[in-house]
Amino acid sequence: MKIFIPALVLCMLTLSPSALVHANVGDKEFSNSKKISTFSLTDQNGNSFTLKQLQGHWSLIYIGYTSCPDICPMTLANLAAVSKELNKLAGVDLAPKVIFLAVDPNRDTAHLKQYLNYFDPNYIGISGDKHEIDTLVRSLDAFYRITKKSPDDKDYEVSHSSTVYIINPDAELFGQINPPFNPQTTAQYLAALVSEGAQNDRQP
Amino acid sequence: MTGNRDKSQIFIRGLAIFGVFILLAISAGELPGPAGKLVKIDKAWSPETPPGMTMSAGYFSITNISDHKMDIVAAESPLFASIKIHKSTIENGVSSMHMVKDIVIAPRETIVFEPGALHLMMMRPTHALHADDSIPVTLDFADGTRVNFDLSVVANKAPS
Repeated sequence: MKIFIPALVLCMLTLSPSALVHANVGDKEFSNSKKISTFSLTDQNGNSFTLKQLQGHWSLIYIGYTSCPDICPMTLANLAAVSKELNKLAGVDLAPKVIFLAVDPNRDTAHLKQYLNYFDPNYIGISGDKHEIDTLVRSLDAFYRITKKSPDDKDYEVSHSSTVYIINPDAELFGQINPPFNPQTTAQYLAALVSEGAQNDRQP
Repeated sequence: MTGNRDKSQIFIRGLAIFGVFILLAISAGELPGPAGKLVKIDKAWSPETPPGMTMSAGYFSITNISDHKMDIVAAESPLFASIKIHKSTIENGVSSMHMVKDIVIAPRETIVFEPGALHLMMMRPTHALHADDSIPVTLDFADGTRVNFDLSVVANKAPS
């Protein structure tokens, strides 16, 4: 049983070595951080989640949906590995919070909490009205599209951005990480980023 | 006279037994059964399904060890209501999936089903599946061949 615990990461190493070797860490840092429009969503505990909750710390936002069988679980497991490493490298206080923006509220909301707990109990899951989701998605220059084959289609799919968005402590879009990414090198990049930010904050 | 009849019966019985062996040899790879006759399947696994999730994915590598093309046209499992062959793609930063009608494997070719690429999309499990469980899967080929194998369920978590 224990040997299967690091399963996804190990399996990726075994089955798809290229996916982890060629990391695109820090693929894009914007020359000017971009303001995020105000939005009003709800976290997995039923608490309000707005722009204010993005302030004062670094965040990583990933867009997805809980019925996603392949890319989302892979990315969430990968980000859990990044978080674990970041906690060691940068410390829990500085490590970015991981936020999952669930864009399929009809299927996501009911079990978002237990879904995210499976990967990492520290994950924050947010969702809400389509208009509010769309506001945040637009601010991130991101994309999603729900494709139903019929009104009764229950197994519909959602296309969505595969990028992890980096939000700075001023709640601005700072950069993005494009998959496939290596948990180790991604954590090193982010640890350097948040540590540098903390040093700058301490300078007079 | 009797001796000739005995010899004749022995010859006919022998012929019948030989025929049965030939038929078995010809049909062995065509019957439902363990993989290994016409294709070789390795590294078959499925990530553990997080609570509430009604879809999962199956991954494996399949090598055609026959001397003719093998064409996967369907997959099924008693533990899922439906299985489709899907391919995830990331284009221009957008992740999406599309259904694949069939997978043609040339002789000696290996095709890998892996995260972020080809996978079995398994919908609506009969019950929650946990690490160390096995998922029986049958692959259906265009020529009528059916191949059974198991996906090992593994935890979908970072090391704790």
